[in-house]
Amino acid sequence: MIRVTSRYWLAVMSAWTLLVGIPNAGFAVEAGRLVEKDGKYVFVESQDPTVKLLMERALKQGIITKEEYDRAVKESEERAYLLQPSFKAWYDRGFNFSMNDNAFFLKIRARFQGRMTQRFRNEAWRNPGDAKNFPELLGVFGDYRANRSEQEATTFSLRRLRLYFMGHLFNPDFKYFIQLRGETGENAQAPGSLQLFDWNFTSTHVPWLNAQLGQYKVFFNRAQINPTASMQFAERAMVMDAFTASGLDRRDIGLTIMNDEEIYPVNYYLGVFSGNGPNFNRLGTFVSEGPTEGTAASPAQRNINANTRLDVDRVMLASRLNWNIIGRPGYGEGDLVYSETPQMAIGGGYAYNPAINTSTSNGGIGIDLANLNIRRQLATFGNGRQLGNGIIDYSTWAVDYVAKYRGWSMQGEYYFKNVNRHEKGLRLGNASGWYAQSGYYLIPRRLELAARYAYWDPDTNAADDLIKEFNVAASYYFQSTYDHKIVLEFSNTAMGTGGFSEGRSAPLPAGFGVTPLDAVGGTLVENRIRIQYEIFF
Amino acid sequence: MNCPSMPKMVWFAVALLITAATGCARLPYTTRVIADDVRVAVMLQHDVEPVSYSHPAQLSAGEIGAILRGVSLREQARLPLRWFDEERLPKTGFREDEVLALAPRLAEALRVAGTGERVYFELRAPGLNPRYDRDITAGWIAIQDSYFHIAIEYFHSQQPATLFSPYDYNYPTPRSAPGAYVLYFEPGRFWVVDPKTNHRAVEFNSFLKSVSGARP
Repeated sequence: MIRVTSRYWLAVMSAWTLLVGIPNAGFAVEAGRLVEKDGKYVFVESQDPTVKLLMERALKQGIITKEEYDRAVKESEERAYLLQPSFKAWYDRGFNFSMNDNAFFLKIRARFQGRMTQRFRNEAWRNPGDAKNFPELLGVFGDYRANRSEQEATTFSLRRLRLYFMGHLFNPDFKYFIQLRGETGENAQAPGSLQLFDWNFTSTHVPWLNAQLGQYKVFFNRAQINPTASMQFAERAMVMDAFTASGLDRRDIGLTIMNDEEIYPVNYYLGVFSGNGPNFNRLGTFVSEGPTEGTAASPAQRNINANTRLDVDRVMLASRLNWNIIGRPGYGEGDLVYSETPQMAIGGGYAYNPAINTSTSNGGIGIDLANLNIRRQLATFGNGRQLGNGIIDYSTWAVDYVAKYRGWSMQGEYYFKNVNRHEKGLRLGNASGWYAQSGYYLIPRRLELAARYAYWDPDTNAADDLIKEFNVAASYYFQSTYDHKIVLEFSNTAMGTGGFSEGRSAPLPAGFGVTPLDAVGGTLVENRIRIQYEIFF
Repeated sequence: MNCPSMPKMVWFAVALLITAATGCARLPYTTRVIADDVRVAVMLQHDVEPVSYSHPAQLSAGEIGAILRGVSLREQARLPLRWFDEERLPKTGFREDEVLALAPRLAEALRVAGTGERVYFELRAPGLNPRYDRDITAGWIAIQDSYFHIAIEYFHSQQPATLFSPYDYNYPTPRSAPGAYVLYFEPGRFWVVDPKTNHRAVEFNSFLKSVSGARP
């Protein structure tokens, strides 16, 4: 087993320090500048045209010498430069603020996704509901709850509210990116709130060795790298969320080195991360321990036990390789730009995230106090079957393909996750899944029709547990960019309730009764219509 | 709610998309690049409309420059603001430095263009965020009989210089949709309607005869 320790961190942090310290070439002073006038940009000479004309005539007639002319021009330009404001501000895909020397740039943007959903579910959603893939965890002990509902639901939600601060410091090669998010809570364990989503710095001083440090989406698979603003559908397929690099969340805290995607046809990404999701690291997770070191905590004396951090010297490794075979299709879904030449790329990723504590090792959640952050991430991203299986090492693979041409696009990915349980006695297999989607612009750069099919086997040891999803969507792009659009989507999902899940299937842990949450069984079917309006400004 | 079985829906969607994808081009596409540098790009585009331009055409850089110097424009406002738009003065279409950069390339392109091709041009300058934005003036020209057609799609418009945001990693930044501009030409007597296309164009033979400064 690979054991990655914090010594790796020291090495990569040193590399980062070296990278951001590389100076950048300065910019030459121009004889004029672009200024905004009536909403347009015009080039204005630094020197007044009348003075310039008189000076040129004076030079031509020999009234002044060439040296005097040059000195006057230089002093005139210096005067104009000193008199102008030292900053500029304008609107272009966000509010932009920049110092004149371009040593500092700030772009402030906001994104709104408002959604109306009409949902129809079958009887199985009433009983048994979903206790396995997307269970809800309540209380400080994280008691399992099945996710149940009646058949019809009509909801309005602010699906994504984002606030962005981005730009560069010192020079255009040292960038920062900050993202805050808010959204309507639709889950008992994830109420709406404002949260720090991204905060990272990127060095692009060396084209073949860019580096990103902070909290951001791990460069692992195509579906996760692509922002939600540039999707063909209102939402990712469930299988896309389930196979993140960490197995917990698409975001993490760490460092990635990569080359410049704008320059090189083959792109690499190598990253090292905490491996515990955003705003969290391994010191935030623990197991309960009795008063004597190494002894199991006793529920009877819960208040005088210890919180013990184990495996806190581990980190997650993530890697990706992408080859733009023809052109440069990028990660945005669909061929919004109406590619004049065929675009094609293949890619693949591998991530290893060791020692994730899916619960204390006593069989079921609800009998021990613990930080529930990791468990809630597992449940939120549909990996609830892995809860209650003690310490797990995740090894996840992904391969992807994309092609685009003249408004048509197709992409697909295959995922496999090796779930290595330290306690082999528990019942849980690996996981695999794939999706394929295709779209076509009926009106180039404006109206797109897209379809997607996704398949997910959350436990390869279990039967009747498959999750199948079909989506078809029509999207209208108001300004031929991803920034302003409306999506109408129909989805059909079928989720099997078979298989075994710790603490929810029979046999239940002692003290938890005899009737499991999946006693009724069946397939959870949902048909859903979403209308989503999005504006990114 | 009852819905069709999933396999049928999947096959229907796949068939629809494949059928659509095998269709013809629906936007003009580049057939030949004449110039593509930091200042100017000129390329031949196959026009998807059934057209028969009088290409190749022999116009000198000076003659094309003289035509470009007469072009002015105004951004077309949306209704109801359009009703009051006449009060705004049109702007000069091309500065002198832009004419000098563009005209020779356009002349070169017209000499090799085919009857179904128009000449697309793009003038580039550093944007307000110079590394990552561009100031773009773009459009196309074509000659049909004695008419010089010109259209402007972007006029000193700030557009991304990169395919993806340099800050919001991997977020695509496609160019926004072309703008709508009302074009004018001075002297106005040469700005006439081409009877074949029903669009306004410069009656360039008469115009060039009247211009003494059209440099060869």
